[in-house]
Amino acid sequence: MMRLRLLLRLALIPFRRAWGVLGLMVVSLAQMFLALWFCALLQNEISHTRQFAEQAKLVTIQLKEQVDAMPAIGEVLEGQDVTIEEWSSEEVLSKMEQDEPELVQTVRSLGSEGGVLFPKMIIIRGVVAPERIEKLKLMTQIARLDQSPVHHSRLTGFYRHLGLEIKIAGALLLLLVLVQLVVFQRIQDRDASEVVSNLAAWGVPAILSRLPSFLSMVTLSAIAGFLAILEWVLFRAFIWKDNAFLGELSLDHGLAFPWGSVALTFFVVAVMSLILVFSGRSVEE
Amino acid sequence: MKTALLKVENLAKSYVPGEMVWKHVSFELGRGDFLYILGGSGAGKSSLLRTLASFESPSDGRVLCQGVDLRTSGRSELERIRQRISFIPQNLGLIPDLTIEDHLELSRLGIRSSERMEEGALKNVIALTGLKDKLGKRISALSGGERQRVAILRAFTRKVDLLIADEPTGAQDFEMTWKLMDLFVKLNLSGTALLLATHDLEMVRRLRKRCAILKDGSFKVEDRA
Repeated sequence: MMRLRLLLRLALIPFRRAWGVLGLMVVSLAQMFLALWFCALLQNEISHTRQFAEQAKLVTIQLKEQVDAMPAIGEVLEGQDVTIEEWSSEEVLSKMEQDEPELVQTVRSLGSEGGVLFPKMIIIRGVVAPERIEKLKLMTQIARLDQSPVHHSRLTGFYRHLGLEIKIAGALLLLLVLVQLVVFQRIQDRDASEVVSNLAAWGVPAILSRLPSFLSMVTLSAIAGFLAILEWVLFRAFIWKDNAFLGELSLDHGLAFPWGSVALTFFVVAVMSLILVFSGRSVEE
Repeated sequence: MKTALLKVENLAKSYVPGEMVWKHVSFELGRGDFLYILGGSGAGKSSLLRTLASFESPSDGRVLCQGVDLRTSGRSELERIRQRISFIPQNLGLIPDLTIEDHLELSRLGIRSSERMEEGALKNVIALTGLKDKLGKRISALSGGERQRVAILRAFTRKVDLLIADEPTGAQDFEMTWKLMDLFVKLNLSGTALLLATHDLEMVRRLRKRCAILKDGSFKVEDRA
């Protein structure tokens, strides 16, 4: 315990000696973490939205009679990423009125018999598994089922490009984080050399004498990480509000914290810190 | 016959090609030996001691410590040797942000308890150096003389075979100088070899120990002070 306290005190020497510069560095590193994790989140959401846009279908169901088939259809489509809309005969006619006014007028003149010609319709939009479609076809209330893919080629192309750009931005941000660590190592180099040379002179094993430098980097990254998480919690609603362009689908998923990306970031930071601190040998070593 | 603790063979040091700081340095030091290294300012005493303590590489020749060539030894072997040597450099090698207590604890990091100086003996050294009431103070808050005593105190935290000290009493008053020299002599009598650099001829005359003179790049060991 005593040793850990001592190692931590040694690790905090650079912060005590250059608190202004390192304070700014912590803040900037926190923003990089935040941007990096936000990129990871967008990447997740975009892939989901893209997948939806590529697989979405428009399913039109014409019912045999004026029956209420919604509960049964809803049951078949349970768990599918779809929206279901029911159109009554009158709603179907209203939508046709502009394109086919004479036909609509004729049907309306037939009175209740018109309902037989134009029964209720159910419109399903979204990703429906083929076996669910087959199940729907087997339903006795359904007279006819048509399906067509929704072609969002421009939209899917846009998301594909956006995804690629976010990946590039994420890689560049990660590079910047690593550059920050290199800069930090340069800043703490004098203090670290002082500690390493003194401890080496006292016969302290090399790994132990370099441990404070590693702890300095871990401390810097941990404070920055904490700050980034705090910013995320405080500002996530604000950030998300301005990203409505990603569509309702993304909004549905909210802003789940990308823990996987956070863990990966800290793993990369730890590996980089180990390399920076433990590579090479000082004069004393 | 004593085992050679430190064997120096035809050592030479040069920082600029063609200009030797010192050359043909050869001598042996056994367990319990005491050797002064005398020389004026700029004679190369500090670089010689740093080389002997394994913190600088010689340009030529070799240093054998307990039979191990410092130049070709591996990292772990070097660490093991350093744990058997205490070195008090001229710049004292202290960390200003830490307290005296921290330094004492750090100097015993990675050392087996059997190789640490007994608590009672260490307390005596602390009392003798006059640092008892300042153990919790940071090095940056101490005077030059006190810092020098901390460096000496640190060297006494471990049981070592060889103590190398570069002008260890240069910042002390007359009384403290002799108190500290008394400590060094007692340590020497307990079997630890001492290698002390100084330009205090009065001290050399009084203690009458073996001394070596470093002058104009040449090194000569005298049998008597």
